[in-house]
Amino acid sequence: MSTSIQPFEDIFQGSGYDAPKWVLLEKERAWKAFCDTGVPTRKEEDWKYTNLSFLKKTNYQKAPLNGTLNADAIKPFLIPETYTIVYRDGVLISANSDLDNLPVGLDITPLPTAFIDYENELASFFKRFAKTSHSNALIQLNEALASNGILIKVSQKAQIDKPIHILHLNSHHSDQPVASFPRNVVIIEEFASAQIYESFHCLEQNSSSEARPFCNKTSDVLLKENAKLTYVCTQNLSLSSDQICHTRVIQEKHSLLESHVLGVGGKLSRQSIDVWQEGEEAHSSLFGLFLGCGHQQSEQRTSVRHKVPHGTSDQYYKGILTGKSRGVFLGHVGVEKGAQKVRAKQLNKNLLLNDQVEIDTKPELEIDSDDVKCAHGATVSQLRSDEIFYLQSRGISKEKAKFLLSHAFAYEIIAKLENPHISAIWNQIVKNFFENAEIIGGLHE
Amino acid sequence: MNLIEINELHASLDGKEILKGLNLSVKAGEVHAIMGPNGSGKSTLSKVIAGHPDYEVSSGSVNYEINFKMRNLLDLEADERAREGVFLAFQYPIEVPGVSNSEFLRASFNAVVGHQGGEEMDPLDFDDFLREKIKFLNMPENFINRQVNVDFSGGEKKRNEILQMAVLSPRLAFLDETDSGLDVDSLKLVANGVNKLKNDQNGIVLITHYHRLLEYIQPDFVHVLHNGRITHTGSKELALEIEQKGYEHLIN
Repeated sequence: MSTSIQPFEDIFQGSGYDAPKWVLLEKERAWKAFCDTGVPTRKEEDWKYTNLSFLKKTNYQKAPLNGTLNADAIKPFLIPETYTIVYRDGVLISANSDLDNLPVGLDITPLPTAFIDYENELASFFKRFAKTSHSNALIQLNEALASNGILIKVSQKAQIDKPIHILHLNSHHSDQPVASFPRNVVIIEEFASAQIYESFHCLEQNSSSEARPFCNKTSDVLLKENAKLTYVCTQNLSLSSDQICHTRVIQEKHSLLESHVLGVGGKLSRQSIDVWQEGEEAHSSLFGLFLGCGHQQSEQRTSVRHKVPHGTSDQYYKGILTGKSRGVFLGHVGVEKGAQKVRAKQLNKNLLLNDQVEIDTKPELEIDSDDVKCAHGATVSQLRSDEIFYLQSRGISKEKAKFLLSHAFAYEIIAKLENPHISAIWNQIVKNFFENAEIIGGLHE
Repeated sequence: MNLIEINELHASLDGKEILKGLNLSVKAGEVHAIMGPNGSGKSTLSKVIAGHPDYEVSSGSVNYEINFKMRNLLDLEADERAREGVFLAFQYPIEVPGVSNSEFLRASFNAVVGHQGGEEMDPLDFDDFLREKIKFLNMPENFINRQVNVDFSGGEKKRNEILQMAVLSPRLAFLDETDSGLDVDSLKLVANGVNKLKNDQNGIVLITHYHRLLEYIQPDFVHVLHNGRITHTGSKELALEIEQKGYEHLIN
């Protein structure tokens, strides 16, 4: 059965650009695939806890293409010592982005141009992803509707000194919400290393409007032999936004991936990462922190597939829920046949601050190889009265005590960040979250 | 005037009665030592006084002097008691990752001092103040920036409790087995700290298993706590007697 959704159809029709024919055919194919499957329902295992029916009911519009953003509007979100790329409502704002004067070995190109400049390389890149990777309706929707995005390419042996900051600023349009489909393609070549810091914020934190903007982003990342990438993603959108984010990573031999995700904002938000280890002795570390208050639904999904021997992976996610929020952790480790001597760990720990929240955690192992070491687990806990009492006995109020102890719980994940600017930002976001949660009554019993 | 008056106090944890009619009064300027065998209710007493919510007081009273009036301490939450000058040095201090000692102590100091009408301090002034206290107590300067009790040795945790006491200058301090698990040098450091903080305005209650601590801190009174009640009260010679003969001969 083929179902088109009119607002998406309109955005698709308007999303064309000058590109080689195969690129446009790919978009067509993705659109058709999305129409064939439709918006996922809760009957699908991967979306068991996720109600996406709002996608069919909302009259989304395409992001307006207004050229620049006021420097003052961007300033609060900038980080010192980075190369910065700015998107507004999913549209790349070249005027505010560092696309030129980049160091030797780093190339950042808007995707439409990249399809021309790097046609053969990108053709084989997409073939490789199509062959290997997991896809789903939301990824297909992004592939079909994305009209812009960037290629980040780090050449062999280049060590990029400063993080590349991909800054997404979304806005609330009171009449008709925007649906945005940004897309990143990242290629880190042999022996090169880079850090990417991607962040999502709203230009207005509070919107009384029921019309929630929707952001559907994908990042496809290829780490070639001995490449190294630290990829940090911070989602701090307003509570009246929805976001689904997918990151897919293919790792070649001896490559190293370190992923850190923070999910704070959004009414419904899902950050999802899939990793395929295709080369031996690759290592993947996936760290995550997700927070929920009010009526938020905060989801994290991970998957690491060990396709070859001698790979290692480590996943550690923590969730903190208050108010009437709901958290979901779907974790997966797969070890394919013949992938011997793999060592994989996965852990999800959750802190529930009252008894009105819900957590669904599903850590899964799927092992088709016999000589492997895999461990997985999930815990759910509450703050202990002894801990709260200790802080109270120092004159600190009960609410403040709960905040400090929750922050302490989160800190273990924050501490894994190496960049001090980024960890300071995460600390501040977590602090603001609890102050806001307190205002809306989430910390009280 | 007494600083605190505990009368016929009965308290239980999870339905099990632990304190069974305990009486104790402390005046400003006094040091009391409470000794007793395991399970006699020593730690329970300190937690009930500090306001641990898990303990239930079924009868008796605890009155505490606030602005020259005796007030019912049990009406106050744990944080309110702390702001009125009640302090408990914990037997097992809690770790708070991601929060520096300085940040923690400043939040605590400002809550207590702010309540008492004093002036709150900004981070820079507070660090100077904290540095002074650390020097006064002969503690290492890195206590300022380390995360609260994280990766602290047993001895360091106990010293950190004494540092907190120095910062908050409580009027009534209960020290719950502050000597347990300490080597001789740490014990001396902690004891010297307590001696330096002792003055004629505050009362100190030492809860201990051993006579050892009392070699360094001179108590005015020694009490024996047994089966939820204070059964004997004497001078420091009583502690020596316990050390030599054990509790058995006193109790039976």
